[in-house]
Amino acid sequence: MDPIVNRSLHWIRRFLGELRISQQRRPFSKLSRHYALSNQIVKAYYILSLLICFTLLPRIKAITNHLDGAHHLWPVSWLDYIDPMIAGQCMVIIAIASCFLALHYPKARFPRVLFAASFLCVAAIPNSFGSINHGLHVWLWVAIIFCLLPTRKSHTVLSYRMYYINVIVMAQSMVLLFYTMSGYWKFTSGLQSLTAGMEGNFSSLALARILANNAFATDSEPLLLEMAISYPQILWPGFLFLIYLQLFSLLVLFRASIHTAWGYALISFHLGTWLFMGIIFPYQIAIIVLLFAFSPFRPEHFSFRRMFFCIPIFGDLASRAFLYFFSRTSHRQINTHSY
Amino acid sequence: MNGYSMGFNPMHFKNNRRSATQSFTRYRMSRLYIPLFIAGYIGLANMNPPQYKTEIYPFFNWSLYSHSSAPIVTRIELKVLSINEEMIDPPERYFSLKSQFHSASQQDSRLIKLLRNMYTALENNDTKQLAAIRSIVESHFLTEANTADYKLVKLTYDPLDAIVTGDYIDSATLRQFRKEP
Repeated sequence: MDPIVNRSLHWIRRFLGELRISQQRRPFSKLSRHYALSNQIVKAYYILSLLICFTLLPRIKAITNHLDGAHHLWPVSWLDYIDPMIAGQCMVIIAIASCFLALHYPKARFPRVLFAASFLCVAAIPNSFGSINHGLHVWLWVAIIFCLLPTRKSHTVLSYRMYYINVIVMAQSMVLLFYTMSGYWKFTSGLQSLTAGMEGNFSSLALARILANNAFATDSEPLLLEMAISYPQILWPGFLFLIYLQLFSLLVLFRASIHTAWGYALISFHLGTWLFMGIIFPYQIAIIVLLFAFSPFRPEHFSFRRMFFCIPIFGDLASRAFLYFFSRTSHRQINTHSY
Repeated sequence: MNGYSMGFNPMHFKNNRRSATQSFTRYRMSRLYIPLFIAGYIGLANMNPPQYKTEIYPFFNWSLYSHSSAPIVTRIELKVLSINEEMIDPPERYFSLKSQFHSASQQDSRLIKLLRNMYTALENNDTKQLAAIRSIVESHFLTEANTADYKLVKLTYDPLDAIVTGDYIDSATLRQFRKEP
């Protein structure tokens, strides 16, 4: 089993990973750096979770005050049998207490599990009215994945650190998967319209129509809506780039050199949704800042060329062309894994 | 900064080789979590949810604004005819009444999804489900009104025209309701 897994993972990394020239390094120095940065990210996550939970306290109180007719989601189905306002506030307070515990006892699993369980309930309360909003989903999934962080008891130092980093990679893969799924639906919908001979996501008016439709449905006036509708062709390349950015997000997991740049590109996209649609995703942005803008796997030294060669598709083509024309180094020698 | 200065000590392995082997086995197994998680999540997020539900919480397929770029759009809207026995003439769309309803001022998109379910219940003549969704709309989205008359309408429009002129291609009333105190 193990050799097959090793070979498959090696093959995936070689096929999807970035092109890099191998360097001689001190043993475990990279692992230690990644672990130290990962540790900081986990701490920052629980500090930000505290902030989120405190801001959720009044919101949950207001919601549980008007719970008549609510269809409770499965994590909070028990709210039918007790006072929902007290129970809702208790859940948030448990989440806050578990955050403090997770910060004080970073190597214990119980506080992290308690936080994930309580946050699952807290996030379910506002969504118990027949339809679901997804603002808290990413934060919740990271909490669930952080339950897998290892406890020191069952590990040696080295395997503890490798396991720990693996869980951080898992959290990154989950966030990127969400963007890739979103891009996939936009891309396939565009292809379907194109093959049916209809105007869809690849049309030059696509983004203007999406923005106008959203503004009309919610009777809102986002800051740059008028400009977007008056000059739709200007935004057309931006929308095509957005589909590309979302669709190829998962590939970026294998290319540490571009984590920071991709993170900022995703943050710019969320800033765009605010300017053009009046929709803001603060928790999503915070997660991207933690896991990508300050990725624990980002290179120590910035190199524009290396970053450019990591851009999915375009960077791949450019790096292969570069190798073909300018480098004598063989493919086998330089195609190494980035972690 | 190197491995030794960060607290790594190779003696850990010499002292307890068996536990080191077990520990590395756990790590090796953990590498399978990522592909398993991705496959599992995609499978669960794309499973057919129960009727009147769009997803199985907390799994979501992240299809956001994927099909909104069509030139002609059909949407289910809620139009308010009166609030606390005061007539609104002509009837206003719910999201236009930002000063009367808190959810409207917050652009709460949950109502849009809920109205779609209400339309499905109406189409299927599912009175039980219709009553359940009505109770959520009235208690949660029309909470500021003691009494209200409202109707469910099906609007067909060109978004680029509608946002400028406010005109629809077609507007059909599906059913009228009344919120009692």
